[in-house]
Amino acid sequence: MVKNIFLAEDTAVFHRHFSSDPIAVASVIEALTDQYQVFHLPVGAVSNIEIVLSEVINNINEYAYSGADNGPIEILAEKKASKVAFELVDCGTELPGGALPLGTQQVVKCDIEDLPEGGFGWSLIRQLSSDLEYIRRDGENHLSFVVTIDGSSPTNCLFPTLIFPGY
Amino acid sequence: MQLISENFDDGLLIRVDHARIDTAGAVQFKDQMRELTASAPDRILLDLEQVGFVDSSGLGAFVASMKQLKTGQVLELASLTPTVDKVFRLTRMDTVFTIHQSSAALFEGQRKIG
Repeated sequence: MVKNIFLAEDTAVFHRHFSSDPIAVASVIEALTDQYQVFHLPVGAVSNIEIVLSEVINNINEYAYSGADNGPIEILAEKKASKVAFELVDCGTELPGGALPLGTQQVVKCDIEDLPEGGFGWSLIRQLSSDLEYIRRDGENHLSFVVTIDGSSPTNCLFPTLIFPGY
Repeated sequence: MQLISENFDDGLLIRVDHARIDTAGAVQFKDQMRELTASAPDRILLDLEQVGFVDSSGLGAFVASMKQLKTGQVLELASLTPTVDKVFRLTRMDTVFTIHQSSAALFEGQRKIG
């Protein structure tokens, strides 16, 4: 990895290098959520972190590394006053179009056979994080986002009223 | 991933004895559900009390488990832990499945079979 763009190593409270296999990923997420429990973050915030990170890293594994289990991933986390900031770095394929997916809510008001079995990931990420930024540089993907410490669902959920006018 | 099933007069209770249903275990979960529900009565209740975390792959496996049921069979869920409940609400999957607070009362008074 060349250099972190969004967060600095010396101020990070959590910094790991790991590979894109599900076992390594699960253990890193467990270590991180343990650490934030130690910081006495509210349970809701810790679970938001766990959900968002799982989906972000799932996407890196599945799309950036096409399911290969030996792709390098780096994670940095920094605790700020009312939020936790994250940067994830990988050396895989660029996001399609070089842009973050919109994370549109999947439509579930339909017949059982038409229900989606995937595509929930970016919608969860968008609903539980904010300040998402993506940069492709020197063959690396850098993604940063923040999760608020009060554990609420934040503000950059783009589409729920559009797709689900009843909610 | 271990699924434990109990037959009752009026249905099948399946307990998931595993802390996570995620990318690593979703396929195995779906396959075990197919096996257990193949000859099950119409009412199938999945107890998730032991499951602390479900990701989008796990959600997909729940949907797949419902799609692979036979006509007349219904899959309901019980005992969602807080993070699992949150994932269901944020993806609106709480509107797709009937979700019970607990499985304990549902087959109460019924005889266990086998």
